[in-house]
Amino acid sequence: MWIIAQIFINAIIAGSVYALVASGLTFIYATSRIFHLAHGVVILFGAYIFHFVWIEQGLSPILGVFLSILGSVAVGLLMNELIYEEQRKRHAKRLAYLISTIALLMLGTSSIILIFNTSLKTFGIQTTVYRFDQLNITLMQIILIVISCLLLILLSAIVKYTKFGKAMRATADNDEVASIMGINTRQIRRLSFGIGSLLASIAGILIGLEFNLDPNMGVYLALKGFTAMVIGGVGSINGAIFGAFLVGLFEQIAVWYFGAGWKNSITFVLLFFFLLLRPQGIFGLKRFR
Amino acid sequence: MFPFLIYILTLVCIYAIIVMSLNLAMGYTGLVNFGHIGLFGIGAYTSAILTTKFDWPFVFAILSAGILCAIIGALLSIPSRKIKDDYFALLTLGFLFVTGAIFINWTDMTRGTLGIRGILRPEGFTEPNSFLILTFIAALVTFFILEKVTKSPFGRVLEAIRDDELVAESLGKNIDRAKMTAMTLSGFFVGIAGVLMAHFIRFINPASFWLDPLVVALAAVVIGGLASLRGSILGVVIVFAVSESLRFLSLPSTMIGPMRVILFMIVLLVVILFRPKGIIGRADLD
Repeated sequence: MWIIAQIFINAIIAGSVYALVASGLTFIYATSRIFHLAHGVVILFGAYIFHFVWIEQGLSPILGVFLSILGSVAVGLLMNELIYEEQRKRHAKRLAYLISTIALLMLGTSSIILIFNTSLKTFGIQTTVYRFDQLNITLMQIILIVISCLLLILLSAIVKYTKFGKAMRATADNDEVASIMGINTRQIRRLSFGIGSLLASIAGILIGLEFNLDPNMGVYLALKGFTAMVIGGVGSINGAIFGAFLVGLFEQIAVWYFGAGWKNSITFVLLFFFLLLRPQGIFGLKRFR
Repeated sequence: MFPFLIYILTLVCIYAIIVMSLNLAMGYTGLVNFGHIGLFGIGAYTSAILTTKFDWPFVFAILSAGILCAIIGALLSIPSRKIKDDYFALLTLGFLFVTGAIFINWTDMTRGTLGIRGILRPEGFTEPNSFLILTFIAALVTFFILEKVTKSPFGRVLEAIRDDELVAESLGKNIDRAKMTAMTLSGFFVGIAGVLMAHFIRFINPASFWLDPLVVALAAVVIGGLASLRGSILGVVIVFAVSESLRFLSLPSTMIGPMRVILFMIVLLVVILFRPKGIIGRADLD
């Protein structure tokens, strides 16, 4: 029985990282209607900058966090301004956004290989391991879960209670009407890209600390975030968070049952069945498309 | 001619087949199939396994690989009845990841990350020159068949499906069958391309059918232009010209791979932004 409990613990650890990714993606999707898969690269930039500043340069980790947030937000905003907003001006279709986001994803992955080279990066941090009978959880993992929960709560508070959140929800509902009512939708999109990228950098830092960094991770993270979004119902942040934990759980079950090699592809089996059988997602509040 | 040029020309021919067949699905029918490279890999692995492990003759291997990829292509078209546009595209990207996982993990057949070595070129085409002629003929045949298909009434049905599925359906066209036929053809040709690739390079591993060929194919099909076979060939030539010109910069070898992807993607982004139809394409990304 303990192995099932351990699977659940591991699923919560992985899920809380994916939840950050998926909620960032949803946040951006809500205002811009773009599946911003290049988000995966924004995450990686955060993680690699943190690693570079702290481990390779030996500077303070606080500075590392600061610079990593700065870097990720800059990359995210640049993608929005240079590509997506330009496409929006030219009335691009959904598929054009998809192709360009994939282009950005590949472009970013290769830039990371070029700048930070391909070698596996580790932080090599050992924290206390807590044992309960046969269950293991490290202090690092507890911190990871707590930080991610706090951020997610903060995010829903922003969406619910601030003026920006209200404007954001209006834009998400119908951006034309929102802009007629005097909301600067372009500014709203910019802000949502900024906040989404901020979440991404923190997700990147946590991923780096808990797992190792390799440049291909961005692609996987983006697609897992997307799967989580579809599972929860595209457009709902709570749904995306729920979906993220489900992805984490299925992944851990796959690792336990089939072996680690299948970890990344099980997500797509999940995606496939959800798209086919329940395209509106588990909560199904919003209509598909 | 020097061997380097022969090598590049063979690759151009193989990629021309890949990109033309991708264009049939993506440009003509409107099914953005990122899993195309997965099918390419299945073709390569099928033939490699059949010829090295079971000593099948090349002709039977290439036919079975083509047919297998055609069947899988047909199966891939089934979800497109319910799952549209960008969701379908991402689903097929998932298919690519699943095939990648199979190549890595089904070690009994594929030898995992070690890859399959010692794939022989077919009898009579062992020399690079004659193999180039073989691939060139294959590319030419692909071009003529696809040209015939896309110029036929059936081709117009496909384009109608791309432009507006509902209209095509209300005109009494069987859109599910048309999509399936298009994906079957597309799968067959990319399977053949996979076989040619495996027997040309004579070594395949899971990394050969991963994101790098997808990047090349995607860049070529969009740059050349959707719904234009000549555009696809032009796209492949441009992509290879860009990529090979990097050799003259004398960069360190570890930088060439990523630099290449960065260049492709910048060109791709510029094309999407300023000329979404591609150079001689007839359809927008829609």
